[in-house]
Amino acid sequence: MVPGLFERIAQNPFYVLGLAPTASRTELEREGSKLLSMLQLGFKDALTYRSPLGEHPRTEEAVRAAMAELRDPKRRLVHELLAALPASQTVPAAPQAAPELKWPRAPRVFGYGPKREG
Amino acid sequence: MVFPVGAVVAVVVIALRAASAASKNKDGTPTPAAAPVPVSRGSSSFAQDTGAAGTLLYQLLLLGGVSAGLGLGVALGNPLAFGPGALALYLLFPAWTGRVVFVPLGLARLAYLSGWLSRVAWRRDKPGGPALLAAWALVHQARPSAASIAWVEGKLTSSKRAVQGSGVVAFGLLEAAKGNLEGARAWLQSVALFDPRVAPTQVRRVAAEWLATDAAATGDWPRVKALTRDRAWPPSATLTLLGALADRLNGEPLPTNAGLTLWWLFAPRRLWSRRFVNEVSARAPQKRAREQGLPSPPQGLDGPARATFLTLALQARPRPTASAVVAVARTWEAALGDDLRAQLHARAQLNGGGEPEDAMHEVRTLLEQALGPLLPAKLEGVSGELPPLVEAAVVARKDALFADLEERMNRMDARKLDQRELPAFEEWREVMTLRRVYLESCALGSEGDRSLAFSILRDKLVNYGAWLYNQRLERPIANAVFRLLEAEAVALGDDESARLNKKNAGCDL
Repeated sequence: MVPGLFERIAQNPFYVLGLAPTASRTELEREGSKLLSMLQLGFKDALTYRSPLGEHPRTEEAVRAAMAELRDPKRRLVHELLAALPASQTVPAAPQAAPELKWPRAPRVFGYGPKREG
Repeated sequence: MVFPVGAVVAVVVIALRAASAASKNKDGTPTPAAAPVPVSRGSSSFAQDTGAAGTLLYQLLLLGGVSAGLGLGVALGNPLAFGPGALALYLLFPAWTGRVVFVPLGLARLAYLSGWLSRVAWRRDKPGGPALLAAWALVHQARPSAASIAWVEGKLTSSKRAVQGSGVVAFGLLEAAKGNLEGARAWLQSVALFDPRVAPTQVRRVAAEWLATDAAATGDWPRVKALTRDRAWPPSATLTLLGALADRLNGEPLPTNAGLTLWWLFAPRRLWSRRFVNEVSARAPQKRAREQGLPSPPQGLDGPARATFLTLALQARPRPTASAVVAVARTWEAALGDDLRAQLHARAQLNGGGEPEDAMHEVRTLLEQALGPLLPAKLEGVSGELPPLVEAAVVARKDALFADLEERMNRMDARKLDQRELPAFEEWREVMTLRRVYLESCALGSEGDRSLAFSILRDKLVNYGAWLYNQRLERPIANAVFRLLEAEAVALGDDESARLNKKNAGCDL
């Protein structure tokens, strides 16, 4: 299945590599190599990355795929657009509405069936 | 004291014959309404009903029987001697006994028998009425057996009589007994479409109370309120109490606790409802949390970053409103402008390649795919033109609904032309589904779209209704179709269609 917008943001190569969309090709190669080495050595800091959608696991495969994507200038332009929001910028969760008061016994009370699952 | 049964019966029979004669036309032919009594209970009035005299005679004889039987029991002082009197009493009020004794006990077959014995409440509404009582009894069982459900269903579907409101309610209750609550809601809600003559108060009340208690069980208090305010449903003490509870839980200041207690005192099952009423009374009335707007993006973000922030905030909402989705789409439209195009050109030069237009097109496609599904079925609170990012989704959804509506209508029309009949309940299911698709089509569009949707149904559905009426003798369903079309034609100012459907809806049931 083709990933949708939210998957594309969560898996954006810039977030995977921990780089800003303005990073140069040299920075990209250096950061990618560094992350691959860290992952091979099992460094804890390299095991996850942040996106505005939260924390995600980082794998060697994901790092290699991210580097490959950003080497292609055509693909890179799309990723730059989708990584416009800094990875550190989290989006506040929806406010939790007060739970509705349910009356699962109502059908039973008025003679319209057994008690519903609460 | 001896009850003067003979004299009373004679007076009643003479009065009914006189009434029957008076109902004939001047040329001596009976009114068309009297002819097809077996078709539905709405086919004739009480005075035109030739069986009414027999019913009264039967009831009076039973009344005498009860009087004599109970007198015998008292005279002999033996409990067994009350047996004949009790039996006569049951036969005098079988529907009531079925409703208050057999239904709550979950005794479906006895409830059915009681309905069947009824000469007053369900006399012209069989097997719908007895099946309603039986299905209602099944709903009381924690795990009704498939065989019992099939038995009641068989009674309904094997009947040659026209489908009436009672049968539809019975069908809905059977769906509830099977655990298909969504289906039950659709069937029970549809009873409101029937003419009250074929869906009398006792039938609609069962449907309304089931729907209201179901909504209360799920905590959908706005729906409870809507149901209790809808004039299609008859009033009842249960509905009044539920409506009052809904008011309080929807954040209304009224009724006060004293008012709530008053409605509770009028309602049935006070002992069982007291705890919940007390719980609601103890809660301070508080306005329902309205759908809160999206959070403001932090300062310093550029256009695409702001739009991304709002899109992610929107996605985190459990039920985003149409206006919120449209607002996010507008933010994107503003962000994906000429400034961004120029920036992308500069970036492409720095990166050593890349097509800004292609990149923007790809992002637009992703946004259309992401925002479209977030749009609710009804575009409420949206003013002005839709931004292109969501317009495509709305157009696609509308096209699919119109295509579905047209296909369904054509299928029904072709079936009518080929005389391919479905069982009566399946015909009603087809009408219900068609109406649902029609309403969904209207909810997405403008008045012009509503007219377009109506034009798909306008002629074919009236012909289908006429076929149901004339060929299938399913007059109550046909009448509901005509009434639906009439209401819609009036709303859209289609005088010709309104006139035709009004005339059709006025035909005998």
